[in-house]
Amino acid sequence: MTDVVSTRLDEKEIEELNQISKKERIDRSSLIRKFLLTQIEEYRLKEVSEKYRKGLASLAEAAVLAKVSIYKMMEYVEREKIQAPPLSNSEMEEELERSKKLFEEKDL
Amino acid sequence: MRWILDACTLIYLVKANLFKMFMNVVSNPVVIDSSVFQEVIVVGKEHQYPDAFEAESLLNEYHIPVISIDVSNELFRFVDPGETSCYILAKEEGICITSDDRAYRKFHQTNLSAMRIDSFFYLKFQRNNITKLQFLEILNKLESIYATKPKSVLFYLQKIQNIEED
Repeated sequence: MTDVVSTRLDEKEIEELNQISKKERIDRSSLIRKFLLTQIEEYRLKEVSEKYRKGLASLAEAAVLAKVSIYKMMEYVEREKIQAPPLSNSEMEEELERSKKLFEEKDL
Repeated sequence: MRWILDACTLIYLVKANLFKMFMNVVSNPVVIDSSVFQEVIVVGKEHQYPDAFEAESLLNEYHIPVISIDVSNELFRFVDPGETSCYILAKEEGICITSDDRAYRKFHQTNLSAMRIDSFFYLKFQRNNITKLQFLEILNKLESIYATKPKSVLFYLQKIQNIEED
């Protein structure tokens, strides 16, 4: 189901849209819709990547929350140079010790 | 015993051109589940990501089984179906390998056998399955695609230095 949404634009903005529409060979309405959807996705990515940056979501969780593929989420965090908080040194030590034990117990 | 790859780790191994190296040093079967297959291969191919095609080809080449799992009852734990299915598979039997620190913390908090990909390669280096140079190249490749963090790289460099000093 779709609905019509109207908005006001300056003449200059409309002219620019007309030019792009002509260049891209799609009608103006479809072009506006395309731009709008792209920006909505970008907004979601930005919002969710903050959760990722703060360590509140894994990358895969962030992709689900942003309604994008994991690939898209990876591209976004790489492009924006966003990294989740790293484990502390003691967490890394503990993780490595546990991993060593797994290697020994399971003869890996 | 089996190794279970989550979606991010599978993509990163392919992206960093490390999947073959991983398969060469891994001594137990590697499996993925249908949610990871969906996220990495099906969705990736739909969006024309080259790594998705490469991943599919590698999964076929190494005959990696794709296990069907119903994640609906456990989805509340992880949000992401791929992480949920890794949890279910590892709960049955196996070790989940992840590149994601938050995912690792969650796996650990639920008493699951899990390991970070950096630690996996470090322990393979310690057991002489890969050389120091290979391990350093692996860290470099993983860091260049954001699959590991500078702090983690530094942590392992210090470990190597400590070994050498001893």
